[in-house]
Amino acid sequence: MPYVGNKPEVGNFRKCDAITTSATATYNLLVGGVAVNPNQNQCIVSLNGVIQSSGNSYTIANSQITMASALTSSDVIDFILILGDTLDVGVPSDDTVDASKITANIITGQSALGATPADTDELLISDAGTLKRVDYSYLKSSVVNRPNAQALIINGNMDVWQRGTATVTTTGDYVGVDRFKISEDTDGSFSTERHTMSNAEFTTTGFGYALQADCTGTDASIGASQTAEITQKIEAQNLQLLQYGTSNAKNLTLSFWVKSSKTGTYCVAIRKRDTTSYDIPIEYSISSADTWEKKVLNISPTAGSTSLITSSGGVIDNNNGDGLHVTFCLAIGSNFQGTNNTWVAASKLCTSNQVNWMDSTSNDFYLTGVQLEVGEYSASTLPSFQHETYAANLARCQRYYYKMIDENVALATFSYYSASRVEAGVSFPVTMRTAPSLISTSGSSYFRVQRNGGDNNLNDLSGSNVGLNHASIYNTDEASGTAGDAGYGYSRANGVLSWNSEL
Amino acid sequence: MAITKVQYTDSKKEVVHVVYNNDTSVKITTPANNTGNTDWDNVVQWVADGNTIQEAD
Repeated sequence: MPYVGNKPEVGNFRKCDAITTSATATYNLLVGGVAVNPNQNQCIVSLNGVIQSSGNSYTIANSQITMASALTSSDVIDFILILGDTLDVGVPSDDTVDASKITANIITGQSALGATPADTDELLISDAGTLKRVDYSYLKSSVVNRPNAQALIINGNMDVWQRGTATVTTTGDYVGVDRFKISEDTDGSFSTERHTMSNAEFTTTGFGYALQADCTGTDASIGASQTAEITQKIEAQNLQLLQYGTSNAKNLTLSFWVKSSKTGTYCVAIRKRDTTSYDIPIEYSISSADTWEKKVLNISPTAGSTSLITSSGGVIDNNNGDGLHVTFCLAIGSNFQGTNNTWVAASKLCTSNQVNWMDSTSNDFYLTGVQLEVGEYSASTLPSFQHETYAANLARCQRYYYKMIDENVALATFSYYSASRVEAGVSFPVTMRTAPSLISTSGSSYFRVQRNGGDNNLNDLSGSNVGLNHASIYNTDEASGTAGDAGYGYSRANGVLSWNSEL
Repeated sequence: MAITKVQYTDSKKEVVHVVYNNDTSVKITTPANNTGNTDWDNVVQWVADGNTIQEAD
């Protein structure tokens, strides 16, 4: 018999197993031998060829049907059809449940995990439109948990060299690469310059430039108070997220790429300034000569079971002063040798295992990719280096050193305050760390002001009224003009002006 | 680098000329009393060591 009305296409239609009647009114309801408990109004029951009335002729409860009166063995229950179950839609056909059929709280309605997922925990993901599951282990490696929005180390990729990229030998100054101070007071000497990576080096490290140091004069026996090192000093107010000086002081991770012709044990020192100075020397090894190696070093605030950093003396002031040094040791005298990975309230840059890199003019040392992260990371979990645009990197460097003009470049419009004083106002591209010093090259006619149809050559310039964003430059030694004159000023051969507010 | 001479640039004594290692190839001038500036901090230490800032010419 055809179905009356719209034929249901989805349902849980079942026919109960045959029932053998006896002198009783109650019988178990089974489908395939399994008890079922349908709503009695969704069933069609036929007894002795007569359809029974639900609720009158029978009731159904607890997986049993109870007839209005006891049957006999001669009665026949022809069939019991179950026309679906209440709120049971059965098993949907394949590909029939779309987004509109899923409740909006299908996620929020579930129990929260409440902990970091295990590597084998799975999440659902759309892979180009196809729903797939993915292990958490694949996701966590791409999650960057970096509290410092900008790199704490400035110019860690050695891209910015405002002072020049050529070879320079110094005993202690910022001479080439921005933000890294070169210090050497041994009986030997070393030079630094910019190293351009070969394609193979770039492939390995991902960096285009490195700081190259070459030993140019040997010292086979470093004096007790002598040192040779490379340091970046970090401004204190950029370090507040470390929470040094509190019980919540953070772990640090220092990473860098290094290469040297001289293998052995080297050290990096983290030197906390302000309030009280604390140092921690940390050893690392250069294993293979002339081979780039990536180092990842962890610095705990309680390293060596100390509490210096977590006590009040560990505070780094929230100001523009000197906060923290990261020092790469090349050769260090015994006065500055301490215990590996242990904070100490003394100047300890390295351990006694530090190689003497100054012992041969064949020694070189290359450094790049310097990054300092807040948190404890391994080589596999370390966030990737925070590459910046060159312009952004340069701007961060210019807070500490700003090369305003090189030789033969327009400078400013000058005016003559008097016959012997010429002056111009200038601006800085970024706010300086502190009112900077003016460094002017000095020599015959390095600068010139063209005024009133003539030239006024100047040997050098001085700074005055120096602020964080503006200053004036003036000359009273060679200035020669008429009060009220204005003139066009520029640098000539060897005329260079820089502003310095390095730490 | 060691300071070898410090001199005020004018009578107002607002700026000093700092000479390191007798190097006259550069002229370094820095505001006086500019604490936090490494050149001025070096001058303060240099004076504490018993040296004297010269008057302006």
